[in-house]
Amino acid sequence: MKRRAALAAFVLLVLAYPLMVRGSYPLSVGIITGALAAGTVGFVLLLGYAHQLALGQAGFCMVGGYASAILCVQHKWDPLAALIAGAAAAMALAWMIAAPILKLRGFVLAMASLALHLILVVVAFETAFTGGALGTYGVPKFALFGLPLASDLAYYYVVWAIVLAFVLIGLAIDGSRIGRALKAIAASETAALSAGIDIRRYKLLMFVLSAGMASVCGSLAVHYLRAMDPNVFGFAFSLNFITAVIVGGLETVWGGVVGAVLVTGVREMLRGLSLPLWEGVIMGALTVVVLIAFRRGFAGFLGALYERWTSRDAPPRVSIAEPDNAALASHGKPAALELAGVSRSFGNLRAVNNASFHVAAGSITALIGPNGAGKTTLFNLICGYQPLDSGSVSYENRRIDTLLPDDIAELGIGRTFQNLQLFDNMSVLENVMCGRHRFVEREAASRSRARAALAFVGLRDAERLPPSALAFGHQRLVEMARALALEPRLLLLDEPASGLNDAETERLAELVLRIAALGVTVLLVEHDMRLVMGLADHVIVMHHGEKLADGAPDDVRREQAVIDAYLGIEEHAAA
Amino acid sequence: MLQLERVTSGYGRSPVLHEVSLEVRAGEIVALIGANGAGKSTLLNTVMGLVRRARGSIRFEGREIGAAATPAIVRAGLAQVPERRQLFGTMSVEENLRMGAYARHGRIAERLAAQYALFPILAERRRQAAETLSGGEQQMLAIARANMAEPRLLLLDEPSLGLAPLLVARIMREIARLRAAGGTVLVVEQNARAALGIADRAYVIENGRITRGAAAGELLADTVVQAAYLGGEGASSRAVEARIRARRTAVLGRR
Amino acid sequence: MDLSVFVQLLLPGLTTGCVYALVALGFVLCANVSGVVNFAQGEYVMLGGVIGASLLAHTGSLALAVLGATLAGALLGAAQERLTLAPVRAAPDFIQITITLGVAVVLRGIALIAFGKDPLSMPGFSGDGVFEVAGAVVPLQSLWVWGASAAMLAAMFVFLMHSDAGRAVRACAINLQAARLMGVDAERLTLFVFSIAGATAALAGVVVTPIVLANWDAGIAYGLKGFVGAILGNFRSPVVALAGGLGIGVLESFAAGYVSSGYKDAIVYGVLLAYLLVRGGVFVFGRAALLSR
Repeated sequence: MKRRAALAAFVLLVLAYPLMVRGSYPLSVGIITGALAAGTVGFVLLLGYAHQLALGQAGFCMVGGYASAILCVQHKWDPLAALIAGAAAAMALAWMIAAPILKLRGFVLAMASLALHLILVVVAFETAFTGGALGTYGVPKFALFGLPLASDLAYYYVVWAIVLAFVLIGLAIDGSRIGRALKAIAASETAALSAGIDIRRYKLLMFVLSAGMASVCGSLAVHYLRAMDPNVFGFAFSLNFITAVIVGGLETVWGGVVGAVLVTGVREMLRGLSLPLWEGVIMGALTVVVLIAFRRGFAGFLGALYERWTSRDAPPRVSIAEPDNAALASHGKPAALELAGVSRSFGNLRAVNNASFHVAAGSITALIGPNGAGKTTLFNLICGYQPLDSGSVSYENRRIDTLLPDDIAELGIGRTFQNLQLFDNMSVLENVMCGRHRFVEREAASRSRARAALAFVGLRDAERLPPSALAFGHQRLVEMARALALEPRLLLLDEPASGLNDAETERLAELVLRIAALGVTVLLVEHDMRLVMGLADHVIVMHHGEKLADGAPDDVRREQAVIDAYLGIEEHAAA
Repeated sequence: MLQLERVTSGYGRSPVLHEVSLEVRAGEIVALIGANGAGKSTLLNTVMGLVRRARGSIRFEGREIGAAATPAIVRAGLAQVPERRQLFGTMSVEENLRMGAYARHGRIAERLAAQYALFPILAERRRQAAETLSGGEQQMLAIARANMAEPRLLLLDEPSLGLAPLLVARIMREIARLRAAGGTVLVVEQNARAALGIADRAYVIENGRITRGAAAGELLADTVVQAAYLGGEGASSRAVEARIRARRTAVLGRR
Repeated sequence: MDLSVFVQLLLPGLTTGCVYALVALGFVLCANVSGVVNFAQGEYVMLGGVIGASLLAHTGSLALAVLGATLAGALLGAAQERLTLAPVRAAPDFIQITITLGVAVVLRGIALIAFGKDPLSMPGFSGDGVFEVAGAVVPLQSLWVWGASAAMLAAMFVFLMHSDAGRAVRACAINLQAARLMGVDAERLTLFVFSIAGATAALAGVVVTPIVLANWDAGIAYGLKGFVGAILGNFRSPVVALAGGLGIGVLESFAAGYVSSGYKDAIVYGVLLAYLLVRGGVFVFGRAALLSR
């Protein structure tokens, strides 16, 4: 509903604007705003969806601008073809620099894109092919499929139609598996990886898309300006993108549109007041203020108003429903896990030393040991968050120790986290749907499978709520459901009883048993001995990074070595 | 000297400590023992102001410190030797010691001399980077660093962690020496026997609750403490375990 | 290779390199103590230059110009931290970094309005004379730049290594939790560090203005080139950052002299880009980058 209202408002305003103003100048402002909006919508994909700052967006505008100018003037290309060629070139360039650099920290790409932009500016100034400092002029008007657009009004509609197309692309991404993956990455990269989401791939996708859209922005502007030179898209233009998107609103592509309008509006207003130099200060100040005080930006503010206006009553308190045992069918064969000679050191600390053990398919195995024994490190090694120094980890006879966490998840290994890593920026159902990420399926299928997982843990009624609205114990269940949605053959539980009271702990035990009954191998790290001794078929005890004992619960707890490990060695010397 | 009354605290949404009450009197060593995850570190961090307490009161020498910020708590006379030492690895031994005195300035030379006298090995290594020291030396440095603040109450978080058994004995002796020199110590330990060996009194903590508080000698009886770690003795925990096993048979058909 | 040409390019490169090195150091200190990359760092150099030149023009007193510029840098750095970063300490990194970018835009904008579009100049502190080294001609002001930079670096070294507060700053960078346990007030320290970073950048900006002129637009270039120095040390090592900054200054000068002054920026930024591409490409295990979060 909100989406349709926004679309309707957009179309209405775009159509009405030329009718409301007189003269050619306001129309030209409308065209330039539209061109900017094409770029800012793309920038929302990058900064708002992927949380990736870039300081050199104007560089991609340059690519588009020069592509259109050079191809149309010197080689007589059709403008639409030149626009597409420019966008393709920009996207290729974006891919080339971002693919390796995204492996480094986030702000590095921001600076790298600026470096690229400034290099392009120099190249544009210095080479003859771009026309040097004077640039290229005589760029023809835009033509749609060979039909030149003689009037400004026609061009205005074409520009805004392109903006609409970009908005629709953005909205489609937002509501899709990709949009969900991006939100997950923003909320918790660790958990996103555990659901099989390849973080780098999605950030790269948004960077490349935004570069293409920036290039289109450049092309559209150049067909209006009829000329292109190195000064058209300078650093200040990149700043325009950033301030537009921040002030307009990061959460939604509409923010890009609103931002473009605001930025242009402020500039025109300042020009009218003969204060053009104030643009920088005002836009910078607005950016800072919005980020500190109201991060959702202007579009977010409008969205909040709309929600307030049309909201229903507060959602009811969720009581846990009876778990539905039939909701999930048996997954098939549970998997076995084998560790052989696994070692990992940090500096001169041997965290794990030559650990070897076997987790039988279909078993419930517990990994226990005193503090500092190496259990957490071992878990991280298995799940791919740390590399091994030596040894191997095999899953169903296949080596997985060189894989990254998202690849491991794709193989059907699910996990939960001791410190609870839920995605606070989406509903409970969407959290669980993220667990479906490794399956390429229709949204409807994803939704129904996720619902089944929620029903299995008894949270069917909570699906619309944000996770923060649930009690802690229920939040743990959401994480379990998310892991179950992955259809794991091996499930790794990291201190699942941490923070649970007695009743919740018993309910957790019941859930773990039902999961094992589905045909899932369970490996858990846990300190609560009632749970460990009650549930486990097999207990592995770690101490000082080494495996100390390995056997049935009752045998292990009676082993003197284990008792000594937990309680400590007798001190012989007198004080 | 230190009184906790019905303190409840935790990180984020999950409460770790539930209504914990305990007391440390001047001149004694009190041990807090329990299994991992029971809440021992959280308790020390709450006293030091690193974790916000949700409910309850913490009084030191009569003054309420539950809401105070860490620098103020250090100035009031408490110091913590954190779990896993948390030394400033790339800084020298002497720089680490100087950092210990950060909150309470003055008479640095005197205090350094005192710590070097207490731990001669540190004097030998005073210019070396902390991370190049052996495990036992690092633990001593961590204790010395905390001592630089001349605390009236020293909190030790799992001093035996990562140390070989012989070194554990050595460290425990050092802690006992602190009491002999007039200090008061609250030591949190997973290694129950080592801690009980030097403590006057001790508390047992399980799942965030204090389950026993008695003279250390009493608690040395293995079965009581053993249950706290490995389960199976306490009536309620045995019952829970039994119920879970019953369900296991029912759901999975396993014995 | 002609020695006098080499020296003629090397020495001015070292001069601008000093400024880049100080910017790089500012980046590293602020990032280590607050976790934030301050994109406004370069603007403080620019502000030092324009404020210094302006004060000199208005008061005729060099001392006042230099002191005023430095003080302005200190106050603005503190203001930036207090007003724009302290309120959002819990916010995600990319938000905090974007805020520093907003501050950079504001500072540029204020400079534009207050000091105009045209570059400002200052006479050399001890006149506009030159001196000769190995056949190369170097402005006297370069000595001021080198001297001031060396003095600031020495002061920072003494501060970091031999003062309680400096030790605390280093401690925070190594282990923030432990530092808090020692009673370190990390928030107050951050304020202090930002102030110092602003002041040193501003002083560098004033001292270099007689040579390169001060212009409202100059901040980004300083920032980006200082950033190169900082990233070479992975934002952890101040020494590498310094060396990197100096190196970039020299590289830039050589590029302008031996290749072409038009292409010098492209070469410098090209080196940055190439370095980053190789770093990213060499990281076969993206795991290391993942875990650095």
